Amino acid sequence: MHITTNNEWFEATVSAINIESPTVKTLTFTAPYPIHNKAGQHFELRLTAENGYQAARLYSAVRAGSGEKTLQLTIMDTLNGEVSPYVTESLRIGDKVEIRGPFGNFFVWTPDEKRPVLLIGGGSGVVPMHAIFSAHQDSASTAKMHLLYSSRTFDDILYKDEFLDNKDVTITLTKDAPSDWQGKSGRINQAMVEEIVTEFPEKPLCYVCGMTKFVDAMTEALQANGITPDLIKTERFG
Amino acid sequence: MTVINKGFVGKGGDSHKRLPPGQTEVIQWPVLTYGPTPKIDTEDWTLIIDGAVNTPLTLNWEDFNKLAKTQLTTDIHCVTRWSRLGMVWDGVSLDDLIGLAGGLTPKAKFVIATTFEGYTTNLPVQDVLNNQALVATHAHNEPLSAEHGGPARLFVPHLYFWKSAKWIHRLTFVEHDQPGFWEVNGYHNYGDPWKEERYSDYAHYY
Repeated sequence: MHITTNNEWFEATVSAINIESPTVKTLTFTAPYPIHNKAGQHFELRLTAENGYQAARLYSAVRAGSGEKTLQLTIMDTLNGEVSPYVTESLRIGDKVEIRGPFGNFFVWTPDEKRPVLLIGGGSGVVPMHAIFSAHQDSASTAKMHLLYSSRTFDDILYKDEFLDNKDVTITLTKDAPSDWQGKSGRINQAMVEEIVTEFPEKPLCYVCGMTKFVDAMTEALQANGITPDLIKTERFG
Repeated sequence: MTVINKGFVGKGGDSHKRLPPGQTEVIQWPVLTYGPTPKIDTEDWTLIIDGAVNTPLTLNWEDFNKLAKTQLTTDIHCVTRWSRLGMVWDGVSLDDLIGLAGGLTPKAKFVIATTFEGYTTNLPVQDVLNNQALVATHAHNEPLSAEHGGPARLFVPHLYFWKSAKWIHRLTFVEHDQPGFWEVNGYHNYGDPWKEERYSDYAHYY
């Protein structure tokens, strides 16, 4: 038996690259040992330049891990980023990076959570929501879970195979909607939150992830709908 | 074992000599909080200094603002790997607040900071003495906005910034350490950026 910790870097090899949208890719890495992580946890990915300079960033795992020797990260090619542009533009299948984790034990969901859950994700803030949503689907949990997902355009929607035409997912497009778009349009507001919250049997536990401005607007909309801060977990970036 | 990523240059210029390992300088100021941003009216604001002090006290906003301010010009370091360099912060030093509370008793080994929404963080008492820590009200001469912890936050810049609790409400001096919110949710108990004390360890077996 080998023992390692979440703070030790391991070598991970890119084994698949999936294009999610024009600016977002999901990379599959093979790890030297089985990965165990809760839905919502993140990993650090580190790059090293030839002169020894290193930079690392945190990324949410695409799904919970239960001992597979693979790990998936969905990464957006951020303008002026340091790590993300290299990962999304330069890494090829067979290339190696260093990864460690998992980290964070608050913005997580496990099947022993019996309360109903509302997930609200903006842009790439939907990545940990995917992990939670899929962990819920893979579990025996009968608690209601609904995802409210704000995406700029149709092309920007991540995980289309799983999220489109799913009765437990509401998607709103904030910029351009195709003429045959069946979902919602415009930014998530208090009324849109109310419509979804009223479908819950009780006030749901809420997870919100996205840019700071988005998260602040969402937590205000939730609180305007009578959801108290102790029921709201947030994760912010930018 | 180190992987070399061919073609990766990053932002490692000269400024990184001043940065703790693994940090990147930012110009803007990111906001990271685990829940909604509370809006605290200064009318309702109080600061409690209690526990192992000789005369526990509660200050309102008006009393607090009559106290002498201390200015610190320093860098701040977030565990999520950004640092802001050369920031100017104003507030009341914990030395002054402790003095106002009649000084520490011998049992004061740690301080537990509690915020208005119930977040806690723990620090050894020697890390908040000798002008190392403020209850800060201003950054770069601007009052702290709610998202950055206003009206007042704890400011302990030599540790990762989650230790600098926003919306500070209470400082309790205690004999025994009590790991706080992030410290029980996977973060390091102390958080020295120069030693990269980011996360607590837990083992994987395989």
